[in-house]
Amino acid sequence: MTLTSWFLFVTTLLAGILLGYLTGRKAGRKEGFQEGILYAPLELRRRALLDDFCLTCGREMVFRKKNE
Amino acid sequence: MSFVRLELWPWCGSFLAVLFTGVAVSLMDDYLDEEEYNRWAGWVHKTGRGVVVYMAVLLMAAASLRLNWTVTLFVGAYAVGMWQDLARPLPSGLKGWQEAMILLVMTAFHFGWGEMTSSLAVILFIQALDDMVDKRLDQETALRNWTLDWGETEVALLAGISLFLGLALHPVKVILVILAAVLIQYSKTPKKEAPV
Repeated sequence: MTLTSWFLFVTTLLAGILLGYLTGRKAGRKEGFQEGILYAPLELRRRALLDDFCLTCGREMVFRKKNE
Repeated sequence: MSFVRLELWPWCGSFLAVLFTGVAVSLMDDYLDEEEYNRWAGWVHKTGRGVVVYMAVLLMAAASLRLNWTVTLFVGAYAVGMWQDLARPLPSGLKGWQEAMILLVMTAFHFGWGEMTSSLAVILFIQALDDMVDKRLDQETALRNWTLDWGETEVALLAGISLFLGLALHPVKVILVILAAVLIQYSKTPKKEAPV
């Protein structure tokens, strides 16, 4: 295998990696966004209950204090 | 002695051609971008439009030493420069990418596809490497940077592809261009930290 062939082989290999990386990243972003949409309401509710503060409307949640 | 005369001198001339072309492109870049954070900036600002004359002289000197390398490298730098803003309408009435494509194809027909592709590849490699190094500075100064537009891994892979493609097509040219680029970058880098 000559040096030129070796360089061309590495070029093709890197081009393949780039193509795979781009395709995988595009699909990953799409999947991640869909998962995020499903996860966001749960996380918002969890944080609101932990901090006694509603992240959606910005009001303090006072019901717990009343119940206590 | 014959080795020096016959073998080494052509590469010295070629290296000077590459260096002159690199300096001309760098001056043009500094003048157009109104660059401030390098050691040439003061001179470029003081000289103003006169930079164009020095650029022409440098390109002429480079072309007299190695015409095909000078033209293809300059066209490659022009096309990569246009890539920063492909959709921008130009005085010719064409968009950036159209002008770059026409010039690339015409030069490739004249000087050969291998010559043009290897020049474009090495310019792409240098631009990608430069953007990877300058990522933080460009982020702070809100300048266009490939790593910010496309991601660091993509640009690193593009740099690798360009480097190996260039090496496969024309290894000597690629090595000389990288040497010249390192030399130019070294002479431009400020000694102290640039004020931000």
